[in-house]
Order: sequence, then structure tokens, then C-alpha cells
Amino acid sequence: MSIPLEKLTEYKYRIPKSYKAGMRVDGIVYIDEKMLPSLVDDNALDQVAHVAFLPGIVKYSLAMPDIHWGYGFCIGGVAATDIAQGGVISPGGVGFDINCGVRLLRTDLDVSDLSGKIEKIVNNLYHHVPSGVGSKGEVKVSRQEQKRLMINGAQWAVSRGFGTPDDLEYCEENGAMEGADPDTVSDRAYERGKQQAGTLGSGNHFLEVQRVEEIFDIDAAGVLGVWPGQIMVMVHTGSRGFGYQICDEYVRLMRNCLTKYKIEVPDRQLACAPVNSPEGKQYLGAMRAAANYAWANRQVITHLVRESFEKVFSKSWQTMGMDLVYDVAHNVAKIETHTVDGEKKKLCVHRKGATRSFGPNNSDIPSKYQGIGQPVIIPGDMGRASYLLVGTAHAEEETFGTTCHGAGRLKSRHEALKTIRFDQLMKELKEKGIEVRATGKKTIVEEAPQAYKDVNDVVDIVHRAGLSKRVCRMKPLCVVKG
Amino acid sequence: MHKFEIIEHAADVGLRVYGKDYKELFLNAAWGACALLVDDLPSERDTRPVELTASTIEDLLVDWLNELVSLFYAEKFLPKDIEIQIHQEESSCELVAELIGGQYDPYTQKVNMEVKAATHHKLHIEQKEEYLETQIIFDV
Repeated sequence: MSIPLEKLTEYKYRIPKSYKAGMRVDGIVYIDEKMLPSLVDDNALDQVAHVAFLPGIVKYSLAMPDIHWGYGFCIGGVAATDIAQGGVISPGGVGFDINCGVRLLRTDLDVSDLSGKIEKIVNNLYHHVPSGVGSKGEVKVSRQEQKRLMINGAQWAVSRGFGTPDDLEYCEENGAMEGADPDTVSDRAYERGKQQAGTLGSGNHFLEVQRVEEIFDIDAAGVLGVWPGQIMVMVHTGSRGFGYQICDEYVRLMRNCLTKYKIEVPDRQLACAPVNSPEGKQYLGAMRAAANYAWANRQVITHLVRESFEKVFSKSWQTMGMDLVYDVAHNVAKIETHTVDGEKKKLCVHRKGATRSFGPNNSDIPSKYQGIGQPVIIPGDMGRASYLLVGTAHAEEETFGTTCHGAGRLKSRHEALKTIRFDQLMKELKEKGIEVRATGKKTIVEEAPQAYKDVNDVVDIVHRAGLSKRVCRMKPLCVVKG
Repeated sequence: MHKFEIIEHAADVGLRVYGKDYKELFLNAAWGACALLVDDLPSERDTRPVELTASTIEDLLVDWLNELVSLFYAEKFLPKDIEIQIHQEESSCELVAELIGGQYDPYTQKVNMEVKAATHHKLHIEQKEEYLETQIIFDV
């Protein structure tokens, strides 16, 4: 049966709950006609419908324009459940890479300051920040230390000398979610976590040095300390094997909850339990520990990035103004209060490949950004661009304060390897002035720009749909891939 | 009959696995998972017991493969030989195995890809005329 997709506005389509018996709410997908064909052979729209089966789901099962096929939830999937009404939490709504996220560092450097230094910078970053499949960190953590890391996240990293307390103010959740419970984490996860603190990893994770190409909102850019030609650094990574292990173990546990709590979902990967059940609370405790691990990870990497710049420019990072603009999580479940049918409700908001996008005057964002909204960082592919946006009140009303998270994959890794030639790709990137370093040729090809949707199109939709507002576009200068 | 084939799937990678019975299917799936991780398995120096139970045979297969992935990253252990027994009852399935293998350090030695986990995505073990067949997708 083909999926009924009703056009509501130029950027918004509806999957009616009549599509499948068991759907509790409609699905809403933010997409335009241009992007629709890329979804035809994808399971992602069915996944939006399947998420609508979750007990306690309110309003809609949502998908952002970077929607593509995932496990359980699609990537770009958002769902909120009403905790008081038996609403569930699902590890499949967070994903294996818990708190995969992005942070953006500004600098006082102009593109001209990098003249003749780009290769030196990329080589320094590549050698100084551990990256690649199974990469091992230089940060040694004992079991006791790991517990502190899980509870205190980026604060732990700062206490160990990786960055300053100012950095914490500019992280979602101040870099540490409350309620992380190290006792809910298995020995296996401890073991996997111990090896990888302070590592970038592989796949789509990266480090990028970028230049600000175009400003769209001068006032917001002023508050964010951003100007044309400015050098920025973007870090994209998550909780590594620690998060994968936790996700796997809790999917296992929650499969049994489907019978225990008489929950029917069309996909085992949507295994879930009521947020208030013992299993739900246990998963929240472990998921938060992994989220905090990821914040610590990005904080350690920030420190290594600053050290790399210090080495190249022989100046302190403070002199170069390498402050944190913001750090966002894009794979996480959080307890938040939102208005549903005119009533404030405590919801469990799942964002899987989706970014929180709170508007101005929201008490959960730093005081510096109260007037403009929360910074939203959207990485694109390594050849095109990335964006800095700000959250909106409209997103808070319509999508539980959520927007997209990236470009979204278009071609499979296999298809990329089949159709893209490494030498040609490197030549094209070089011609664009982009230096790339990676542990393997394969990763570079798999992550080629052609394998992704055009981030400009994705951001255009969220901007026009009012889910976040464009502030500036950044172009990559050098890229380190795992 | 092939033991397994590596198949490419959307953003990720999968295995098509064959076996004359569950025991052989699980064994071949394990060798498939190892092939995704590394090219050369370490020699047999050590053993690891594995005992798993699940409510369906498909769940048991996912748990089995994730146990191997997890042992690799947490204990740096890969099997070269496996002894395995599968017991299936109406409402539960059980796996008892002994892995005979050795150390392989994913943090210093060559690894083919970072496998996050085996998933339940459209997983179904199918009874063909003379053998069993299934397809498992891994998040990588």
C-alpha cells in the first residue's frame, strides 16, 4: 500500500492516522516537492507512521526535512509522549549514538590569517585529535573517574583542565544532564567507554575548519560574535561505543517490556517502556550517562582543537578568541514541558537526528542568547556548507521546539563507493580549496558531498517553515574525518 | 550453499546468511559478523562462554551477534572456532556457546568498519525448501 501523503502547506505533509490501524496520531513531515522523490524508495515515511503507534504520543509523529531511513525511528524523527498518560520512552527514538551532537567554536581569526597555514592546521588536527574506526583516546579514566564523567559530563572534562567553566554555559544542559545513573550502566559499557573518551570516531563524524561565507541575520550574528570571512571550527561526534552498548542492552530489556506492559509496535526496534516504569527510569539513567559522556567527549576534543591552533599560530586560544558558540545534542530524549491542547504537559521528547530549537526568552538557553533564541548548528557535507541558525517560538508551538540536524543521507554508502571515484573527489575538493584528512579513502568516498542531500535545501525548508532562522552559512576549509 | 554474503543496504551494511538448521545459521551469521569487523581472526588461545535467552529466534540472533560485537570492543576478543547449541521452545529460545579465540585489539589493529550493532530491521528467518535464510542489517 502506498503511503497517503496529504499536502498541508508548501513545506508540510501529513500521513493520516487512518493509514495504519494502531496509529494514535497523524504523521507530519516537513519536506517540499523537490525532496519528495528521494523518499519514494525509502522506508522512512513508514517509520514515521510506526512511531505514531507509541503509547502516550501527543500531537503528531514528526519528521524533519533531513528525514531518511533509520532503525525504529527514521533519522529526523521527533516524538513526544505524555508521561502522565503512560507515555513511553524508546531507545530506538534516541539511536545507538546517544547524544551524537555538534559544537561550534568561533575565533577572532579572519580567512586571511590562514593563508599558507591550512595544510599545517589540518595536519595538526588530524594528528592531535584521535580519530578513525575504534580510535582510542589519550584520556585515561579509572572506573571511579568514569562514574564522575557520566554524572558531570563536560563539567568533568573542564575539571580535568579541558577547557574553562565558560564553555559549560554554552552547552545544551550546560554539558551535563541531571539524573545520569552510573549504576544502570553495565560493565561492558564501562569497558567500551574507558577506551574511547576524547575520540572523534569514524563514519560521518568530523572536525571542520570553516569560514563564514554569508550572513543572513546581522543582529543575531552580532550577538553570536560572527562576521563574514571569520574562521569557525565545528566538531561532530557522540558517545562512541559507550552509547552503542547502552542502546543495545536497553533495546534488549525493553523488548520484554512490550509483553509486560502490553504494548504493540510494528517494529522490534521501537521496543519501549513507560517513562515512569522501572525499566523506563533505568534507561533514562543510562541514556543520560551516555549523553554526558558525549558532552565530555566534545569538550576534550575542543581542548585538543584549541591546542592544535595554539601550535600553528603560536598564540593562546584565548588571544585567538576561540570561544564556544554553542553545543547541541541531536540524538537524545528529554523531559520537557510543552503546551498540548492549551495545557502545559510534561513530555518525553525524543529527537533522533533532530535538534532542539528553543526560541527567544526561553529560560533553558543562555542569558546572552535570550534575545535571539538558541543557536542551532546544522552541519552539511564536507564539500558544500554548514549553517548556524537560531531557534524560534514557532518551533516551540509546532514541533516541541525542534528543527533539523543536518543534510541527511541521499546515497547509500555502497552506492557512493560504486559511483564516486576517490581521485576525482579529492581533485574536486582541492579545487574548492578544501583539504581533507581521513584514516581511509573509503570513509572519504562514503561521505562525499554527492552522498548527501543539499543542506541548503534542508535549511531552506526549516527557515521558511519557521522551525529555526538562518543566521549564517559557513564553507569548509579543512576537514578531518574518522 | 554459501555460508553468508555481505550485502549493502541503504546507509548501512547487512548479511544474508544461510544454514541447514538454526545451529548452522547462527554459526554462519557469527562468521559473517566477524568478516565485517576484521580480515584475519586471531588464533585460539582463550575461551569465552556465552549464554543467552530471548523470546523469539530472531531476537536471539540479534543478541548473539551483538554479544560478539560487544566482546570485540569491550574485551578485544574474537573467536576463531565456535561450539554452539540452540534450544527452541514455545515461548523462549536459548543459546549456549563456547567461543574459542584470542585477542584482537580494535583500538590498535586494523578494523574494517565500526559496527555499532546488529538491528531488528525487517529481520525474519525464512524456511526455504532445504535450508534457512535470513538477512541482518547492521548499524555502522
